Amino acid sequence: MKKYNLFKQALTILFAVLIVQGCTDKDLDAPFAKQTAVSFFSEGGTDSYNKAVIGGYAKLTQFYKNYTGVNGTPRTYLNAIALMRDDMLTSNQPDPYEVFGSLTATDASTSDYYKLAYQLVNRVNLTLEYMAEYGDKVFVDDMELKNTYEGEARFMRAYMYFHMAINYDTPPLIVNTIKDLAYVPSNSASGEVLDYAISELTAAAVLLPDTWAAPNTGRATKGSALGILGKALLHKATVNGYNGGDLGLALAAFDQIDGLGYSLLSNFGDNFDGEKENGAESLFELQFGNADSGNNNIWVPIDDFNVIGDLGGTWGFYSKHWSIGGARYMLPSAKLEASFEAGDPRMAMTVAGGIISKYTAKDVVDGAGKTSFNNARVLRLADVMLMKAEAMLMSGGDKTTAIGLLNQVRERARNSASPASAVPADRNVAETDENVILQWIMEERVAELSGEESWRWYDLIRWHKAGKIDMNSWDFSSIQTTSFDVNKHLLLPFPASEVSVSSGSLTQNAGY
Amino acid sequence: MKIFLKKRIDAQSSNFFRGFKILKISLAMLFVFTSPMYATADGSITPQQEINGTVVSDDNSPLPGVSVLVVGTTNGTETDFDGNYNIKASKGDVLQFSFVGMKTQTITVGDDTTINITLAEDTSALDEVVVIGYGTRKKRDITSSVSQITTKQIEASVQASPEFALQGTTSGILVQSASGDPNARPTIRIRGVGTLGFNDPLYVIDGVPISEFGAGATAFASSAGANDIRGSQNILNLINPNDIASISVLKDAAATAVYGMRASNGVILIETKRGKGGRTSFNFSARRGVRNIRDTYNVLNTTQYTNLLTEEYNNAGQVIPGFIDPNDPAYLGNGQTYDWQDAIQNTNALTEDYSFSVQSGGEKANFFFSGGVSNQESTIIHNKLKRYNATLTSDFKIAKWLKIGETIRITHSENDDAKGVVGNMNLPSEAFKAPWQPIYDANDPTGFARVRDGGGDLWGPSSTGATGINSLAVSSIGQDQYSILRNLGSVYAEISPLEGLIFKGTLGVDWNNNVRERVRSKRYFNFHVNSLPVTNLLHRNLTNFSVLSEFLTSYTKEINDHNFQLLMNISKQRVGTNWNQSGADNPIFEDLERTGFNSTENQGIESFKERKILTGTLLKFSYNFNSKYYVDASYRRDGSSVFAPGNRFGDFFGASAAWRVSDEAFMENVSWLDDLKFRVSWGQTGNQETLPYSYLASISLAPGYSLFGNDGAGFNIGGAFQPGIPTPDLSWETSTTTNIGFDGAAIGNRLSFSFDYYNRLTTDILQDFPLPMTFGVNKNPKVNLAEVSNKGIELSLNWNDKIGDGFEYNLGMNLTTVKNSVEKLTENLAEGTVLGGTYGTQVGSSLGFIYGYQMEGIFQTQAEVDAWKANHTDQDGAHADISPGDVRFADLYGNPAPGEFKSDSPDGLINVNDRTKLGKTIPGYYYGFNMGANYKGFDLSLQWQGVGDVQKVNFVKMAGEGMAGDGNQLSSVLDRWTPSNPSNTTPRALYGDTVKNNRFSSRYVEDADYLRLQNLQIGYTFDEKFVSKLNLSNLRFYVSGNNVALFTSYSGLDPDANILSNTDLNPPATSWLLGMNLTF
Repeated sequence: MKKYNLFKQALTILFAVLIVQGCTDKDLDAPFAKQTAVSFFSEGGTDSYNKAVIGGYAKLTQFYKNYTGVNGTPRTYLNAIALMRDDMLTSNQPDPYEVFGSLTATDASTSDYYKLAYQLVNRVNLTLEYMAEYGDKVFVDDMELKNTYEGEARFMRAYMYFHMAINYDTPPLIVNTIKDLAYVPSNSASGEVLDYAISELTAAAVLLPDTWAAPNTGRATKGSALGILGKALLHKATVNGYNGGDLGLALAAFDQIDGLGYSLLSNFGDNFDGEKENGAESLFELQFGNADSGNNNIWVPIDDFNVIGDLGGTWGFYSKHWSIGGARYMLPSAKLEASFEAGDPRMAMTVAGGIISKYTAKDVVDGAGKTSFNNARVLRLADVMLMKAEAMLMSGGDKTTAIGLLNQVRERARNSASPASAVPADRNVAETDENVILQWIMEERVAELSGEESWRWYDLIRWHKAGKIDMNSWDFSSIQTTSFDVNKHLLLPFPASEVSVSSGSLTQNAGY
Repeated sequence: MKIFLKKRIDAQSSNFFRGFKILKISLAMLFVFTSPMYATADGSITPQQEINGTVVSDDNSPLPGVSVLVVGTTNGTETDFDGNYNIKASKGDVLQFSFVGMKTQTITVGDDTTINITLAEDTSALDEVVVIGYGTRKKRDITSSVSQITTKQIEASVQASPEFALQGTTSGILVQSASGDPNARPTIRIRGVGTLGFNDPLYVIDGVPISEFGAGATAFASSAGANDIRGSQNILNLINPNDIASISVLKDAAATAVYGMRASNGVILIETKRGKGGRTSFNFSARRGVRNIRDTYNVLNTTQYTNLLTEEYNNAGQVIPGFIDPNDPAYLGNGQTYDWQDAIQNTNALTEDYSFSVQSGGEKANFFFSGGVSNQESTIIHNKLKRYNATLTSDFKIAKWLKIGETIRITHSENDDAKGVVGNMNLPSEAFKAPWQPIYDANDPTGFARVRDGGGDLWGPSSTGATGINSLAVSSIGQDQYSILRNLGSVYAEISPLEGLIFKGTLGVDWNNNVRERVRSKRYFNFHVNSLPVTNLLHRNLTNFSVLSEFLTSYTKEINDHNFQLLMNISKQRVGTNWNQSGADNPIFEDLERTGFNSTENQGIESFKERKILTGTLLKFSYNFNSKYYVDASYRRDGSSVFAPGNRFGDFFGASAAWRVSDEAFMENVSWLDDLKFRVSWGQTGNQETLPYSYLASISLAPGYSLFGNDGAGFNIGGAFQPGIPTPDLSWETSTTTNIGFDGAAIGNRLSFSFDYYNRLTTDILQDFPLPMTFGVNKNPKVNLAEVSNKGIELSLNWNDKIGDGFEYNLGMNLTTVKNSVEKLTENLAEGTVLGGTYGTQVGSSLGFIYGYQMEGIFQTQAEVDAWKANHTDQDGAHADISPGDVRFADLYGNPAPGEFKSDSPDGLINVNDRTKLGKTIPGYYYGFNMGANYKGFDLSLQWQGVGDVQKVNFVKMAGEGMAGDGNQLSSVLDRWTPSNPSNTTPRALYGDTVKNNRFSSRYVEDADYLRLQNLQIGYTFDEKFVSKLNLSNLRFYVSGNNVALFTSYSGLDPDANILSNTDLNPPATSWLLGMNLTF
């Protein structure tokens, strides 16, 4: 029996030792087989940062996509950016962005615009935070690449804040990822975000490469950052009554671009040709798919599924493509059609068949014809030259040189027709009246840039603030009845839900 | 009812039993080898004689290990393996025979030296042993709320899956059948619905808690595999119902708190059979029967359909398309009517089940071995389940202080689900096909008719919706199969170094492999509108495993009438999932038997893994004084790897007390009352099936961008982002339950009753937390925030009695009420906010109430329309188009003021703000009745079951009375509004429905109360004299019907088809079976 007792005791102890379980946090560290931010940015090598930056570009393209709301309304780009201007209007049903009076803080287009902007900001913030933590180790063999990715990330964030600063004036300035769920948004100081964009664009211009070798063509370059920087500085200068200091800085940025090898394309129309993307005139262009985009799916947001999603743009809203399901689409305004000098070849390349035809005349569509692969030319040299002329003129620079820049743009326009047209003729380089020359620049910007981007709206805002035009009595050339309130509609409303959740720390823009 | 055999069967006399003889001999040798030697007490001065005999149980099997004692002496012995004993006693001595679970019997020694004893089972309901968490207890000693059903009820229910035996027989539990699909998982809810998230109870099979992949929200929720695999498997399909000894449902927190962080939704304990007292016995049971759909939808025939479409187009002012225009060559309306519902039905679907078991039990060892084959076809074609089970359990008492044992359970099932290839193949999907669409075509190589559009052309991109997928062709040509192998087993060793002290170590393994293979054939391109002429092979493989190790220490001590038990259990469970999926186009063969990844075309592969660790430490203390005053208390500390470090451990307490009033002196005179015990309990439990690893935000590689090479060749490049935000504070949900109740028996133990009041508050429920957009996240996080309460009563009454000679009967009823209320939601949403579209969640209302417009009636005249339009504007539908025959929706509320969420004053505008509560989806009460009787070998049992105070959205009516498209409609639209038929319930036909008569409204909400005769069984057990001639000990035949009758006002086929999940596909099947049970 004694033997048994020993055996018994031994077994009991063995049991206890073998089976008693640990009970600390460490015992519960089960491996997690999905990429987390930490593993992705610390273990994935430089490619992780490349992917994170690409994720940012993908988000930028979403402003151009078919996030259709109720009744197939295109929400973001084509409403909040494209309609608040006098060169485009919609075909049917009063749209708040066209008639202004019905624009409210609960409008889904503004909410989406705001949401997409901060989603991009968040992506950049996350990337930069992890780059700060792991970047030195990950990029140990190629610190230049780190600078490049950092430059791209900061460029995109600054680009977004530049838009937000103009559209909201005091949007929340978020430069780090928000970790506290209790966070509520609050306004930045007036002008703070524009200044932030300017300083970040300045920094990005240093970090970014002059060009990208194939197959990376299409990514942001030094020229992209300098161009947007100049635009932001010109905007700031203009709204402050053509402040000389900022004009000087803008000119400095434009001068730097001169050394980067950009040139006007010989044909104006080539700027919108789906077969001639990323040309010599293009400083920044959003890349909208290509023949390889077999998984392009117009109905799926690009963030939702691996590889499958909407890689294209929605220029179909200009051409009333069947894929937009009979929804409203964009038309040129009567004012735009009347504004071209008779015989300006740019008119036929801008308006054809009663639609804004810039991107649709030589479009490249995907296999099913649903979506366009024609890149959005966000910033091109003609715009830069006209801005430079304006900065030069208003800072008291050489008027002849300024008019010369204007004439280069006009000359290219003339030569875009075959045979070359006589119109538009060169402006008189001997003109010295600042107001006359500014008027020429204003007209040229319409003829050259109408139907593109939101620059027309931003021009109107800054010229109004500088006292050069009066938007109180502005003709928006809509077929609807517009009710524009200059004290209200120069800014977009913050989404109502953001204001409501902030319990007072986010003040709504005046009038909304 | 059992018929007893008085004569032992001589197994050795039959060749048939030779195999068992060998088994018996070898087992006997084992017993002999391990038998303890026992001394015979002697030294008595009175002359003693040798008394011997056999002790058998009431089913006539010998009972080994029965204690035989000469009362008043220390002289005792035990029966041997064959139930024989031998003891020395004097005439006049009293012999006492006692055995666990049997009534102790005494007999005075007379002149006869052979005393054979039949021990009766201790049948008092109060002495029934109930399985509770980490142990068992007699029913009389239970202090918490536990219901149990045993073999008897499970056998009576005769269903392929055992949970249905709980339906209607057990208070507090609601079982809802999914459909006629034999593999579909029924929905089980215990005492209401506690959370917005995961509501399934925890299953514990033979002590092993089951952990399933994809149970709660999963870190891989976006993966196609998660739903696909868990949804297709009913967890209880892995157990042969014939193997189950008992199913216990733990309901209050004092009962469930021992399972800590996994117990909030209640716990279902399943114990399977183990070998028990007696010689080797063999049981064979077989049943075979048919299953059918009770009814199909009444739809229009071709003529009626053509008329309806003509009216639709006319009312909409649209040109009548050629296919309904008799003057057009494309006219189809003169064709015959095809019954698609009938075509996809598997009439008299076969259901068969054969199983056998061998069991034996002795003092030193026992075993139970069973095997079974089950074959069930769905009521829809191309859907069936084949299941093979094998189980072996045994226990060995190696020494007085050491016991070991094991359970091995292997289940293999094969499930054909070719209907899944179609996407949707159910009665509604077929009912609404154009009735003129032919099904078969002898000229097509496949024999099926191709899909043609309204113009009679083969389906192309410009097709109109006149015809639909030929689901019969698609499901016949395609294949979709699941093959599941599951092995659930455990081994244990138990040491008892001291009287009352037990150490038990258990190792349990659950290994589950599920392989899904699907072929979508290019050959059904002509029958399926969306497919490409490409054959696609899909192969999914899931391995889910769980390893549980447990160490249990228990000490039981009895000091006079004070009974103590202290129990400690330490456990660790590791759970893992490996999933992968691969696919390719155009494999060499198209049948799954032959094909594999022998194609490199368009190959794709995807996989994921998940690992979890769960630990638990349980301390439980129980005390009772003389079975009169009881106290139980438990504490469990649980850890789960799915939460952030520092947030992984939770403490869960449970306590209960009971008082047996009937044992008090002052109750002595209440003679009609046999037993009365009051219970009160309180406890907390958790639900860790929330969102695993949400403290680690994952990276998505979804976004893409198209870069552009200078050579002009573009390419797509993958991007990355973090869609969500890490939520390190996220944790389990907690339920706090108070339960007060009493149990008792009266009128000579013929009446037993039980009552409970429960109040369960679930807090920290995970809810989507809408972050400000400024966060810049794509996906809102979930936070522990919402609160839901469930309150109600449970009542059960049972009556057992005998009339005259041999007529026994029993009656039982039970009732459960549930009052469900959402107590708290995200602060970012005001209280009035309704989440969701058709269903709403709002503070102060039942979870998931039905929400939509209120239909007031139908405009009968233009004057009525004009009068209404003078004061109202419909902003949802086309206001200008409203005409007589359209639905008039109620203007109940106004547009809320800025910053408000609701306005109670009507504003003349009909829009989304006028939507209101139209019903609730959680039944307010549910109940069951059962009755049984037996007389002279015949037995009869009936089980009724019902629910009440519940509404349901009739989605089929929604699709079938829309009259706005080209699909066929329910016959009820024959009563549609026309100028000559002023219906006030069904509006006019209107193609395109511009006025939105079909917006979701009270028109589609119906009461879903029902009463169902769930089971009817009539059996005959043969006379013992007859069966003994066949060398059998028991033989019974029966006829059983399931879902025999249904009483409801619901206009669809069956209100029970997924009330909770709110889809209405195929109704639960009705079935009739013939069965037999045979024992020797």
